[in-house]
Amino acid sequence: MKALTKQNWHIVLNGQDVSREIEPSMLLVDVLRNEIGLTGTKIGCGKGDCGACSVIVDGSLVYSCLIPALAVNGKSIQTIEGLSKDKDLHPIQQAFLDVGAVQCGFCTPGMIMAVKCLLDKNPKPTELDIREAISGNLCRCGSYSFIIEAVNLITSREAQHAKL
Amino acid sequence: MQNYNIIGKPVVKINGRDIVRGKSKYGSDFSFPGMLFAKTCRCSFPYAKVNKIEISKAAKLNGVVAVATAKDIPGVNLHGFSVLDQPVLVAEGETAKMVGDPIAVVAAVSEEIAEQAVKLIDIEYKQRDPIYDPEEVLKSPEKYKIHHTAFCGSYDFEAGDIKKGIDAADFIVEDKYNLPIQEHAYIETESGVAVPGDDGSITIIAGGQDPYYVRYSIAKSLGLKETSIRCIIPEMGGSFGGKQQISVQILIALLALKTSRPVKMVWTREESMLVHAKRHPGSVKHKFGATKDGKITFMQVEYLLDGGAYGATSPNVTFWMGAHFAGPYKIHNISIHGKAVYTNNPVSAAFRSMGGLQATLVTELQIDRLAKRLQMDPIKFREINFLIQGDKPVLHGICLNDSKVTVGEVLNKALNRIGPRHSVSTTTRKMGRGIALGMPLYDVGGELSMGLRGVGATIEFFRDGSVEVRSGSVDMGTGLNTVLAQIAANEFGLKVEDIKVISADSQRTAKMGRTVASRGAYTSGNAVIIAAQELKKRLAEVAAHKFGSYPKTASLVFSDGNIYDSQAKNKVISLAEIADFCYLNGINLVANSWFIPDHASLGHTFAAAVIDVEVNIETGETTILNCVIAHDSGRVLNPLNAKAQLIGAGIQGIGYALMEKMVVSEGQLKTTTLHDYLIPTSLDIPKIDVVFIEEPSRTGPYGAKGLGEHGIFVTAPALLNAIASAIDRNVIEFPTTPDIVYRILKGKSMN
Repeated sequence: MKALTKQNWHIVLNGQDVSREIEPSMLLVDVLRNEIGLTGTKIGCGKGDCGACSVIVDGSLVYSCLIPALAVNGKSIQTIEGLSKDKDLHPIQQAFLDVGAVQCGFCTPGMIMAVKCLLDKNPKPTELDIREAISGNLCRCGSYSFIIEAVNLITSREAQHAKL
Repeated sequence: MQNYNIIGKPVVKINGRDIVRGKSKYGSDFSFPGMLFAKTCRCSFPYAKVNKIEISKAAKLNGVVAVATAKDIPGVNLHGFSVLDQPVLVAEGETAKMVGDPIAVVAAVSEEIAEQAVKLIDIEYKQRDPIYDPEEVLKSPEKYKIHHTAFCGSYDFEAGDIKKGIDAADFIVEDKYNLPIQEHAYIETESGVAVPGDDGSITIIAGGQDPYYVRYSIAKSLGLKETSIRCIIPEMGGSFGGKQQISVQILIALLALKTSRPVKMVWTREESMLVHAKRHPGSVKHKFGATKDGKITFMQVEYLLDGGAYGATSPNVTFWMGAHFAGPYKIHNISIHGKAVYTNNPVSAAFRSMGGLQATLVTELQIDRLAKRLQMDPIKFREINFLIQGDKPVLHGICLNDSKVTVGEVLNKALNRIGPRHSVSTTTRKMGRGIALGMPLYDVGGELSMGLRGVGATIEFFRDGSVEVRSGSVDMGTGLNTVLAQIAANEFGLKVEDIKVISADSQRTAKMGRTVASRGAYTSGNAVIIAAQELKKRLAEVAAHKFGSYPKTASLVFSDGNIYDSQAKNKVISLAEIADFCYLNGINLVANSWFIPDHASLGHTFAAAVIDVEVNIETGETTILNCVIAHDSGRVLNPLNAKAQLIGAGIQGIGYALMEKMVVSEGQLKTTTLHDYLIPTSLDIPKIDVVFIEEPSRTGPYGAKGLGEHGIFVTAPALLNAIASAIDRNVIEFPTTPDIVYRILKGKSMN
């Protein structure tokens, strides 16, 4: 099979401009993991069933295993690697660790992105809001209630911080 | 001396930072220069002789670097954990025994090209008559055997006098329960990379539960010395017993050596679901009875497991299942017989609890039914029959005296935590509460399984005082490495951050058998303590010399990275200074330990679950309102880990009972995606409460017991008992998807 013609592709990835030449058949998750080398975004099913590949595109949670990379040309993308600056963890990452919401960790990047997407839109979610926000992310280790606890911890820490 | 400043504390995972930042590398995340991608050509039929394998078209495809078949395997073309009968690659003239059996592998410059090449491989098959029904195999084993024997597992245990027990019973409950398959559905599929060395050596980085088993298997199949193979288990995305068997390892090693390039293989979800071994389906005939006063007089069980095409760990599962039917109950007249047979169905093997879940489930369902016949409260009925301290256990050298906890205590703690029921049934929504008890066993002595006996650990102090703990156990997401770091930190008076843990690297870490059977923390934890104490003795002697108090070391304390003399406040020396001194003065800074328990091989715990449900009798849907798991954990080393393990296992048990349905028809797996096979999501499971009963074990590290699998034993039966209670019916068929509940509702009521 002939390789299809590569096309110019440009996104803002975790706040940085990134350009590549990619084939139309390439999925966003493969470009992120293989072309750019950011392996934090995982592949669990390749079919949009498990959510391990979740990234944020222009503020919306997206399954990167279902999207051709060219479909997000020109857009702003955030992956798990973009959350922490240097040594400091993002509050979501810290909260996940503090409550023990990380077991095998494979669903964790997708879960964290789902939580980020939720909190960006709804800083004070109810338990049902949280459950619905992560309902597209499977965790076989069973960390759902710990993740809910993590989100509650984040909101209470935010409230504390706001008081100071 | 233990100050418990770190033990029992919710210490954050030592690898947690890397995981939450997306920096952790799992098997599919590794890349090496010149790396090739491998795909497998698999058999489409459940039972077929492979007459011819034509690879020339595939080999000629642009971008394909190598195509390998059985002809390329110089050693033994078989693997298998407990039974060596599964082909690495099915050879011409040999017979594939399940859909998905590997026949050829391709290494190419991209995954897409490898996939295309696989499609160009032509296989000529001669189909044979497959056998799918284990009962047929059992009836005519000589006719239907697909190996040299029809059996891949057997268990027989008798005690007392069954006939006497049956005669003494006033009420008997007898039924046949069908056991469904369960798919592990770990979110990370099987993946790994093989990297060849310049000296003919090979390094394998792939998920698994035993790097030594992988090393041995590769050596045997590829005709290499084990000394030229290094197996590293990287961060894993879950295993639950499913990654014990060989998956990608031998094939990527084969291709890497053939091409002299690194080779990566990542299974697709469909491939993973099709190929890897799953929880044994089968059937259990369970009969038991009691006097009208509620004393169980006998238990008689016959079970038949579908081992699928290969032996894998069927012998172990068959044993482990049999060992759990009696549960925490006093049953003097008991007869348990079980068999696992080969069929042309997908292979079955270990999955969290190794058969213990199924046995506990059937017994607990039966107990509720018998209680109903006796018109006795199900709790009271159980209480009358509890095993107590000092009782001779029903089976196999279980040391019932390891701690003082009673099963009744565990049940009461669960009941107290969940509290009284609040919801009231309406005409369409029925409320029910179910309980279940179990006595999960965990294999620490390894007497019953080959190769598990003996667990080592190594601790090394470096010259600058930094510390490395090296352990062969696998942290597959359980937090085991964190617990080992806590133990070492506690022993030496250091912070957890000061301890580096190297695990599951066959070239660097001491053997521990495989990390299974909830034995990781117990065995490796003890091994680390033994090594630490040996090293502490040497370090303390150096300190005593420095303090001028040698040979007296009894008053020396390890704390804050120093050694203090508790009787002379000005005497203090840092561990770094001692390590430097040792390094320069020929004192060995490495300690190796070898732990073998000097007591019964099997540890035991008690577990209880109480679940409240609401069943919508118009739709058959079940909502779980409340769930509590109580567990006799001994000392909890890390509450974050322990809670997560109990809850996680509990959720898998709920999935098994409620919603996980795998469809196999004529040897073909019909459910090969995660939207066909449904595992619990955040909308399916309420908050699960966990109660630890922390009566220390006499023999575990700081009094800890095993617990990784134990949640799964009790949530599944508690859920089914709750549903049975809510709808006032016997529940024999599960998973209780809405259509099944609806069907049960149309049937007879409980009697």
